[in-house]
Amino acid sequence: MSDDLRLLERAGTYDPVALAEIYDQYYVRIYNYIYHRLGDPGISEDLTAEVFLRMLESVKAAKAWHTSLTGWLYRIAHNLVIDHYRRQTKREGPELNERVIPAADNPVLSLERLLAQQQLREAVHTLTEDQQQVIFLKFVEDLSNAEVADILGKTEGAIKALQHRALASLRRALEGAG
Amino acid sequence: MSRDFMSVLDESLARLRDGESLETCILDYPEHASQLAPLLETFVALQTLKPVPPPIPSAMLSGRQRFLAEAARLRQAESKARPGLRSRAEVWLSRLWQPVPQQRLAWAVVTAMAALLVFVLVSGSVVLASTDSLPGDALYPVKLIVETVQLTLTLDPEAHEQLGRELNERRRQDIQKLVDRGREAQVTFEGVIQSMRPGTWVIAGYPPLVIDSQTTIEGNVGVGARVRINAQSESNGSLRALGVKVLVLAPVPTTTPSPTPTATLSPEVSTPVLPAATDTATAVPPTPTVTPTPTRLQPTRTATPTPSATESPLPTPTATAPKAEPVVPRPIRWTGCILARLSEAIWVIGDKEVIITAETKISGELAVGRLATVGAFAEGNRYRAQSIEVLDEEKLDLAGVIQEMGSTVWTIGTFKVTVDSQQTRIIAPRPLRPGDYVRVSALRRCTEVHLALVIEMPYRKWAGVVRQITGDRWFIDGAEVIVNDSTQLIGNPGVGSRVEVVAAMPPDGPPIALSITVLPTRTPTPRPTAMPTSTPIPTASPPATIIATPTPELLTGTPAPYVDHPPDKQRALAETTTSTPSLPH
Repeated sequence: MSDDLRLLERAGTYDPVALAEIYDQYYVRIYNYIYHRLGDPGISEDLTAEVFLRMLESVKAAKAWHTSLTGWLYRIAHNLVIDHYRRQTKREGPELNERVIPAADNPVLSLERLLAQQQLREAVHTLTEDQQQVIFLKFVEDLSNAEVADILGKTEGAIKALQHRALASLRRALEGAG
Repeated sequence: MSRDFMSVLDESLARLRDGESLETCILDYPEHASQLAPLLETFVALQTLKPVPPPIPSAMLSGRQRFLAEAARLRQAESKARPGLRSRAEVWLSRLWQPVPQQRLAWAVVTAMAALLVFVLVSGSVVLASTDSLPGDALYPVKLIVETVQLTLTLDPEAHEQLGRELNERRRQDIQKLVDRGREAQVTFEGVIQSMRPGTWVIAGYPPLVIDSQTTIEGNVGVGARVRINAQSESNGSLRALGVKVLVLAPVPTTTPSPTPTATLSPEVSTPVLPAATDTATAVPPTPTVTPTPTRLQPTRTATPTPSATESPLPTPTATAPKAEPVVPRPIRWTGCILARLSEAIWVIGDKEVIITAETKISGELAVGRLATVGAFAEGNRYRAQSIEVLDEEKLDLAGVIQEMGSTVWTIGTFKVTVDSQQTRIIAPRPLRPGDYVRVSALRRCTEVHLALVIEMPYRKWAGVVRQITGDRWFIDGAEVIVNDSTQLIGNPGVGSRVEVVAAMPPDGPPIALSITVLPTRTPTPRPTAMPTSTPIPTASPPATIIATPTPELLTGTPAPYVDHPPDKQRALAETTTSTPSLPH
């Protein structure tokens, strides 16, 4: 049995030690993922907290996760991101005034980089949901094909094909924007 | 697309991720180079998205607390709603023993049922098999049932009391066996804290209890307090406390404790407790009440020695009475936001009030809004700090539009910053106002409000000729600026005027002119014969002169800023000339 599954088994009894371990181990990863999807630190913090509360709601259900804790948490996060988008009557893109610039950077360069990031993020948002998922999970979060496949409920072969389409579409979107 | 190319792409992406160069990856597949290159370049571009502003520590911590509190609530709700086999039996048994009057009517029925149950159990081999069971074993609940029913049916007060002592001793032995054998199980028991050393407590009669950072403690613990322990026996032979709940507070220490403790000193004698496989409170059976001895519990609280570091250990009148040990109170450590200073000596850190004394070791500068780690001892409702370590503040740079300007707190974008007259420096060509885009250098605070160190309005100043005016857009030597209602037009500028422009530089659009000042024509200036005036102010509209200067004349690479300590002085100087921003101090 993997460490993750052992941890989940203990979490199933609401073991506070196991739950704290899961939170500490995954908080930043899930926050990063949600931030990449939404681009808003405050909302990302709120939704990250919600991910763990949702996890508690279904941790008792043996089928709640497929093969990995990682995949399960990312799926919950993904669903919350989608819910968030749906709740927004008017989708607001990430705005510059929300950004935090790394302190050590030159502010002017940082602003330029933020503009480039914003353009890139907007281009990613023109892709299909699956393509966006593979872009963020595989290329930004550095998950493996197997992990992405688990999260999206697809085969690894399908992920390879999907990543190809995603990169090609993104390239076209960027060229169109430029 | 061929399957081959997808594999090549996947492999190349993996190599890029491992640090190989883009060129190497492309060169290795010349037949796919034209397809591969743009995709790999796109992957490289995506890497710029990786940096993420870190989550605010207080948000992370509060989320963690909510998460664990919710887990505790669910655990409790579950144990009440769907008790398992063992806990159902224990709940039933505990109800059986409830001394409340309304249950007395059912007493005969319950006793009969219990007798019947004993009969059924005794007639089988189950009881024999359960005799040696321990917490965590399938037959352990059977053992508990049999013992409790035996106690129920023992009506003679003296025999009942004697049996209670024996059963209580068996419970202790069960836990001791678990620990000796290194078996993992959760147990619950009650007892009196006999000693508290850092990391290890002794509950009278039980194996040493490991207290770690995961142990939850409810109530003010102290030597002499009666507590309920939920613990986990570990495979390494230790007994680790998961939760400690104070049932009866420790008696107030006295320098003249009773020199003659009675034989009822041992608190467990009258309160047999059952180790439970779950940590529910109901797993602990109550004190038998068949022969009520209302004063029995009193000696527990009054006769238990309450040694302090200055006391001599008390004589131990019975073989089972716990030996008193010098007390080493266990400090509590936590990290929290410094939320308030109630007085010089009392601060609120996290959710606790902390007393600072001359002995408190403080590293760093205490200030509201900073994060600190405290080591302290409980003292009534407050905590006497042994050490306070103020954590380093993190630099935070942000940018945004000023939404609100309060007297001390401004909202910039979605952030709130404290604008402090002593610590905040404002750099701008004119007094700031809501709607201005600014960059802020701040110290991240664990509260929602950060401390602004510098608030800077990005702007540019240059001179040139107004070439064209189209609506609100002016073209001044090739540079487009927006002129709006708040733009100060000085000297009636128009097409052909040579002007000086001071413009705000928002990140997402053309510059917005703050002021456009007509400059005097360039004519030879006669040598002054008198003292010059301090600041020449254009008073009339000079004749339009087209200067053949094709490119803007940048006057300030680093603009001379408007600097002030906000907010009052800044507002007072709101109409300061814009042509020569200067340092007022």
